[in-house]
Amino acid sequence: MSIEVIAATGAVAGKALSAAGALPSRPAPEASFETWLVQQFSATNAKLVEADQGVRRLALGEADNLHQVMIALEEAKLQFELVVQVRNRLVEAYQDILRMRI
Amino acid sequence: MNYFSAFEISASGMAFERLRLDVTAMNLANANSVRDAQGNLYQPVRVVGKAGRSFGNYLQQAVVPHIVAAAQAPRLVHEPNHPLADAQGFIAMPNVNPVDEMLNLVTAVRGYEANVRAMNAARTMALRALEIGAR
Amino acid sequence: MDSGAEAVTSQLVRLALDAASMRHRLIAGNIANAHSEGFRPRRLDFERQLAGAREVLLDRTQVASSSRALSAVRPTLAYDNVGPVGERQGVRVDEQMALLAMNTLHYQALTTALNKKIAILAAAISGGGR
Repeated sequence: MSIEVIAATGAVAGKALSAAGALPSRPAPEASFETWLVQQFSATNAKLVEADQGVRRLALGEADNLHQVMIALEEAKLQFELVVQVRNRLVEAYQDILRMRI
Repeated sequence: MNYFSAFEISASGMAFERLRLDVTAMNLANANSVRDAQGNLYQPVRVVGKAGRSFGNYLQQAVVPHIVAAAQAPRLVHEPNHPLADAQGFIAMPNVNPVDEMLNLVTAVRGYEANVRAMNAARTMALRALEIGAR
Repeated sequence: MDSGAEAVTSQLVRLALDAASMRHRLIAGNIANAHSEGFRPRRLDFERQLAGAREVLLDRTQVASSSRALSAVRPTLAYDNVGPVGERQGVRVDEQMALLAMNTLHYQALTTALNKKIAILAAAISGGGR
């Protein structure tokens, strides 16, 4: 699966947020949400790759134990779902801002 | 080493206990045999297990059986009417100790059971691992 | 994670599942022939065949060569060698049952792993909304 699409969405949403932060009346946020989001994306990608490698090792018959493979898969799944939900909320927020009457 | 190693260790233990049972049965079956045409008398044999070389390499056996024939003095039975009896009326028979053999029989069966249990436990653990995250 | 590497993994898992089901049939055949005269137990030489392509398969960047290596693998039959000292040749039913248990477990592990991967893909497709 490709995470670049989601990453792109995140970047757009991040820009929208920083645009909102750049309003003259509000101070700029000190810890960037965008940085956190990008970190989460790369962490998710790493988890997915790790889980996938675990499955390959299992199929090759050299998995040390089953629970580590299963835990890696489950962690990857949860991490992925978390990122997807964050992305969904961001898109919702973006659309809310878009619909706002000025 | 992969997650099958527990199975393979138990399997080698099972093979070892089965070999012990086979050998005990052979000893018991030959307990009353006499010298063959070449004059050789059956020697009671024992199975000695040595721990496998490395735990990590699952291709190697966890238990390596060695069959040793204990060179023992024959048991002399006084049976003057036997066609193979010597001048004094004695006949040489293998020195098989029925008590030892019965003990071996029981421990082999119990050892086999223990290995089967260990294997089933490994299977149950692996199946539980597969339930991680299952809904 | 790109889709190429993902495809290699599912190809590998599919092949391993094929091998496991083939091995099941072999073991069943071995048990069925436990008392056949002169029968030599058969086993499947799958893991050893894959061992050659192991390095390539664990390298996620080599998608094309992994795929090529996988399509070259055909699980082949092998005959059991003579057992250790003092053991008669032939089928040992308890050993075959142990192999059967291991194989069943491996199959279950592979299908569970595949299910989890499919769940992640489904979450990606549905975008988190079920």
